Amino acid sequence: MISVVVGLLLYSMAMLVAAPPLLRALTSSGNAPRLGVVTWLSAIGTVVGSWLATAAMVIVEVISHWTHPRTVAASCLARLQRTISGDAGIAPQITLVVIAAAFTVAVAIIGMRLAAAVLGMRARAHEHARAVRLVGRHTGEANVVMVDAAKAAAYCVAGRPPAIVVTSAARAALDDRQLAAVLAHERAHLAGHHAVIVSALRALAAVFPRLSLITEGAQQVSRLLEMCADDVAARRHSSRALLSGLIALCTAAPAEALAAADLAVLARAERLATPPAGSAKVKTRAALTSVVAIMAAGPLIAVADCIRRSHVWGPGMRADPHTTVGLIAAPSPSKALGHSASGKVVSMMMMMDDGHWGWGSWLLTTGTTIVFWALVITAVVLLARYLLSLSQRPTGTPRAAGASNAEQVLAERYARGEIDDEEYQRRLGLLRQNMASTTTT
Amino acid sequence: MRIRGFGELEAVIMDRIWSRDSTPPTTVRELFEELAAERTIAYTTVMSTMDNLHTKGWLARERDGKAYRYWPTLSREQHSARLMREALDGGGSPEVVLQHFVEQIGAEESERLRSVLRRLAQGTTR
Repeated sequence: MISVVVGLLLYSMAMLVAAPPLLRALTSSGNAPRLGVVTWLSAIGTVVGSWLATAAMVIVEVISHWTHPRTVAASCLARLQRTISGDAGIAPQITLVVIAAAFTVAVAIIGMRLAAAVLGMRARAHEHARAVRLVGRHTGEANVVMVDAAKAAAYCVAGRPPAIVVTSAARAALDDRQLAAVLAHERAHLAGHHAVIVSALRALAAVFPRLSLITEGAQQVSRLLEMCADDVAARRHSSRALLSGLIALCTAAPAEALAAADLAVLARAERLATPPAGSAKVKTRAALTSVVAIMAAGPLIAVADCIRRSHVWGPGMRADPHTTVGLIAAPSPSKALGHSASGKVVSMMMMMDDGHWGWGSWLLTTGTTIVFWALVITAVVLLARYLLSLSQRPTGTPRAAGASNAEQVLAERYARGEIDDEEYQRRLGLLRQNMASTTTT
Repeated sequence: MRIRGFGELEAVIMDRIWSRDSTPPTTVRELFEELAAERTIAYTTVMSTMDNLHTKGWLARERDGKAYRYWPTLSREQHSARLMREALDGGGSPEVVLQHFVEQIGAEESERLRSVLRRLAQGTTR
């Protein structure tokens, strides 16, 4: 049991450290946004799941050993007591109560905070949707309302029924084709229940503000969901209609706040302008699928590994006559355990009863477990880096790559305001001529 | 026009109340007669909907003899402004989960973004 708990905790630690940079690198391209969402969600899901499993196991363990408190107390605390105070005088039942209560209270508090955050967001969204339906003018289309506002904006809000809001300024900025594409984008959000995913992640991020896996996951998933909705809208209408709608809304009316948003919009615009190549998509998908598979298998491997280790201890100790005698001559509680529980627990017990299987061996085995996992994670990271480098390698000819690089540098200088419109056009024309002439000769 | 669901009747009633001259405040009877001219609707439905809008804070009322007289607490424009503040400026401190088509961005950033977007637009139209 303890070994399973240790395995799960090690897994979640490894994920918290390794997953954010790895997943960021794999999903930033937006080559496979839907699979990217799945990857982030399974990373967060397995970590939260392994914490829940850990807490549940500790609570169940404590309750199931209620009548024999000494067995758990012995396995968990005996060494601690012996090494620190040399005194086994703490009443084991009190310790158990404290452990079980601490875990139960922690799970309950976190669960309640999460539920409160999710329900609060849901209530506010529904209230907003209702209010907007009362205030806005209904258009011919289902669930689409128009609200008078000087700022150009289009958004959707979950509710019963949901609402897609287009401000009057946005309506003025978009032509009919662009509006249809924008509405398709928002409908894709509603149809995919994206608000549920986003609010669950935001609630988690609010409860665990220091875990970058969750806080960054919340941001990245929102970004990827925009791309998912873009893909749906582009399929239904055309990526050009959607892109021009995006540009029209960006250029319509600037607002205050938020600086990071423009990068996300830019990434989306670039994706729509030049859709990712099929081969890049396939490679990203392969990389993401393997990461998901590893993450799904991760907790299982971690648990299996730790159980294996605890079995390895068993025979070694059984060979030790001292322990064997100790087991046979054990007092009734541990004898009862020896008959009822699996070999793994017996081996744990023997380890406790025996003096020289103390802290040293525990540190040794934990150390090897950590080293083992460090190796596994390094291998995964290297594999992912390799797959990533494959998927990001320019697929065109070297010439095309050179041309686009030069044009990119030029565009960046233009974007930074270092050169004006005319200069940009002149240089771009020259570059293109130059490239064309080098290929024809 | 067919009314679907309770929310839509609320919208119709608010629309009527906002678009009529607010003096003097409306009774349920007046509004019912207006609506009944265009569709089949029960008096009690109109009454309970208006009562509901009152409890939700959209309508204020005052007893006048045996009936209540209703008037809107805020104008349509005031409500719109409040909702758009909530939606566009992250207005109230507890956030509302909205999926914006384009996130609201700062003026300086948007200038930089626009220039890049112009480049992309030229790329696609070429």
